Amino acid sequence: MNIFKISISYLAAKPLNTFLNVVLFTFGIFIIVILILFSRQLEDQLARNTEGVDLVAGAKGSPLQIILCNIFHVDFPTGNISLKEAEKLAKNPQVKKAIPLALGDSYRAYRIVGSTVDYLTLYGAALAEGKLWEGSLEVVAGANVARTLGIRVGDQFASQHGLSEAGALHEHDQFTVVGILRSTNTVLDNLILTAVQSVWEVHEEHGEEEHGHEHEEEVDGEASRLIPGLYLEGEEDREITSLLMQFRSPMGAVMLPRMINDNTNMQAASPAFETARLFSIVGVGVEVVQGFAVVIIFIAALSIFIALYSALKERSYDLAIMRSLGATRARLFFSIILEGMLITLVGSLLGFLLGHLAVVLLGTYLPSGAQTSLAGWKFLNEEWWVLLGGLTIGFVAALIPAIQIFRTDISKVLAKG
Amino acid sequence: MVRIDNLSYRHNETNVLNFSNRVFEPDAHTLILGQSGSGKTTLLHLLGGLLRPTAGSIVIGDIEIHNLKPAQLDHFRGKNIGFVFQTPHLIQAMNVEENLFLAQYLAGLPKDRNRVKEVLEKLNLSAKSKSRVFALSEGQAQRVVLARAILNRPQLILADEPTSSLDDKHCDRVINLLLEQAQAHGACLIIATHDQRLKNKITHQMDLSAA
Repeated sequence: MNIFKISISYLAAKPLNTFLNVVLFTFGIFIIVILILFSRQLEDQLARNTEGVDLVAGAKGSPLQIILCNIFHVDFPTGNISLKEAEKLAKNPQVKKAIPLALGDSYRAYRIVGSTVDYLTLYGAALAEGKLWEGSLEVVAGANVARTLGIRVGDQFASQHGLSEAGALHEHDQFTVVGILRSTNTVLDNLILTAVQSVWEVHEEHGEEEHGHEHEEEVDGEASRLIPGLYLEGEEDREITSLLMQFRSPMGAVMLPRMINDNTNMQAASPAFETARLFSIVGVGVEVVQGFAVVIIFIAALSIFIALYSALKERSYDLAIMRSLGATRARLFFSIILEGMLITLVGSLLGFLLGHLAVVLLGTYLPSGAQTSLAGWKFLNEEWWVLLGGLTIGFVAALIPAIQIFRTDISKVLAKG
Repeated sequence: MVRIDNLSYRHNETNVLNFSNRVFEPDAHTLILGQSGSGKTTLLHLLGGLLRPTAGSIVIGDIEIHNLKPAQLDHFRGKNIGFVFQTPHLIQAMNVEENLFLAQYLAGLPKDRNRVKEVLEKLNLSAKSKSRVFALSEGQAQRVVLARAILNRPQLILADEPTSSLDDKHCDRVINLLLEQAQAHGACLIIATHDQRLKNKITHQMDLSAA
């Protein structure tokens, strides 16, 4: 027999009551843990994907859409920008590095992105097997794409127009997989990458015949700053989707967006600013759910309090008997506090377990195209605070009932019989 | 040996109880008699350290219990005094054996399985050691309470109306058990009662109405 056994005996003597309180508390903690895990990992993920990109220039439209489309690859392009203007922008002294993106096609819901090797280095990508694209219509597949679609080096496929599976097939041109990337935990894992020229080539098939083959033979004129191996002579009408930029100095953040918005047909969008804005919108929803969890935890605490408080009346004789057996008031006080804290401890631990389990399950069932990969078994520092908070709530809920120990006159209770 | 000296207890302005001086010898079991309200229970609770005297002294063995600090008094009570109350109250949340382990634990004594087994055997309760408390008959519950009172080999056993709700047959059995156990442990037995049937069994008496 010890103090824990006393508390546990009383909890076990009222199994339904104890069960209800543990379930309530577990549920509250469960929601909070899920929220913490989700928002934290989402933030990490977003931060990883926007790292190294200071500004994106796209066609006029919503800056948020530009970021969602060109950084996270979850939205559709605002339109195209002319390669000529993009080249001009890339020459701006404030721009340290500029990466062109050409979107438009997909393969089984995974985007095909025409870009340059710089796009891979931006995310620190490395090849798991094969080689990088060289010739036309050669692609490199991201780690997730390769895994979920079972793509191997040497495979061929026809792309679909648009970014959904319903798009019309470009049956004339077959892409060839020449390499597969190692996982980077960034958006790159879910993309199929190729040269900008390959994307153009596919689209020339329908309706843009005037660009014809004669251009491929061109070797003179000014070399493109953006696209290696391309000469601008005769390519003036070419279009890309967007331009990802890195500033040379913080001054760029001040000057470039205004310059782009005022003097060009393009729209500047800052990944940092737009994701912050996105979070402030989503944040309202998160706060609502968080409030809901707090209410549940409050109800659980109230329920624990009521259970202990009302039990105290039935137990006043028990407590007096224990005093007659030599129990000090402090010991009985502690045993009641312990009852409250045991419920919240078990509730918290179950809540943590279920919360992490739910995130793991969600991670495995998440649609393959989704841009966040979730690590469910990662224990975050914030969770210590939740545990501490849970125990504190148990303590507080039990405090008033426990204080009654010091107020009861055991002689009176025993005399009443 | 228990000695009370100039003992008084004040319930409120109008109700002040004064007790005559007395020495309770270990082998002289005593009845405290008197009508309701004469202070039987109060005296018993004073002797057991459940109440603090307003004035006077109580000495048990060589300890002046009125001078002990609250926690010390609790420890002293657990080790040296066994209580039997009118209703045989046990902790419902625990089984018979656990109720006895609880008494050892709360008295600050080490868990002693053999002692628990021995006491249960003595009171013919071995078969019930794992029973839930609410599954016991009235008589069995009474014996468990008795087992709990003597478990820690107290110097003093205080019983408050242990027989008043019992018929003659059970009354006999309970009082015999109490005497037997007090004898066996060399404990001083003090019973507060208005039950006249006990007078033939216990000769030393302290009548509070006479005081």
